[in-house]
Amino acid sequence: MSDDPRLTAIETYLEQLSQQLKGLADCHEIIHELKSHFDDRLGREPYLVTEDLFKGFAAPEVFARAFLDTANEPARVSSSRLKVLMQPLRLASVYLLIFLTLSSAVLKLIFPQRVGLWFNQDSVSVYLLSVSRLEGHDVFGYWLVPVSLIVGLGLYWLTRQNSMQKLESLPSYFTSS
Amino acid sequence: MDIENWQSQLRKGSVELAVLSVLESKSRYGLDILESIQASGLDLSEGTLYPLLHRLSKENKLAAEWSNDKDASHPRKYYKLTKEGKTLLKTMKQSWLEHARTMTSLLRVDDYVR
Repeated sequence: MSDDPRLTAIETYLEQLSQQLKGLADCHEIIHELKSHFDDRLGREPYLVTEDLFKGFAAPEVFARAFLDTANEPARVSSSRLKVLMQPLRLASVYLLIFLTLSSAVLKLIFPQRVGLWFNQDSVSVYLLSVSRLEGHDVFGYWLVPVSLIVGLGLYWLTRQNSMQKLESLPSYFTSS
Repeated sequence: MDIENWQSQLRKGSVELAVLSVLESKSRYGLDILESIQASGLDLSEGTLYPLLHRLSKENKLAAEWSNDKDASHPRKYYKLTKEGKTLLKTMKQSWLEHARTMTSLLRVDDYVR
């Protein structure tokens, strides 16, 4: 610590600011630049009092916030770009789900023993179209046809009704579970 | 209406243009930019200037370089306009002048009506 109270104040301020900027890639660069600023001011006005030296500066946490806010902007931009890129993928996932649901209704009518939600002592399995005849208990039976039609057409209607925000969460829900 | 708030908003809107403008002719360091702008009569503080310089650099409007000047015992960070910065300055200048012309004309008409 220096005997000059102004240098001590600068040191303390920059230290506190540095703590607030921790994690910011160019934290050191910012501190270095501000140190240079204070050196310049004291060089030009040797008798400047501490109060005037800090007149244009906010408290370290407030000043740091201004830097951190600008640092977050590019991240927000790339995040929104990613969202835009993901949107067609999500939309395609929803339409695939609608297609599979409606297909199951049609296929159930053609291959009743190979399509559906089947339950036996060992497991519960969902088949869109099995290669072989399925053994065990068919949970829905032919009710699968109206259920699939209602779900599939319902999803389609919701999509058409601009309910994409709700539907967009469906694929991620299925993939994450 | 809170006139101080309105004046503050007006200043905020012009600070970015002022910073780009003082860097048009030559590269400058922080305190030099601050003093140039303050000398022109615009109220600007360090608390506004440095985060703005940081943002403009991040947006690639400014390029910065450390330099050891003869008149200083410490290195200074000099800023200069990039190609993108020059384009932005040109656009902002045009918009500002158009806006100023419109407002001036509007205010004169208003005075005439009275």
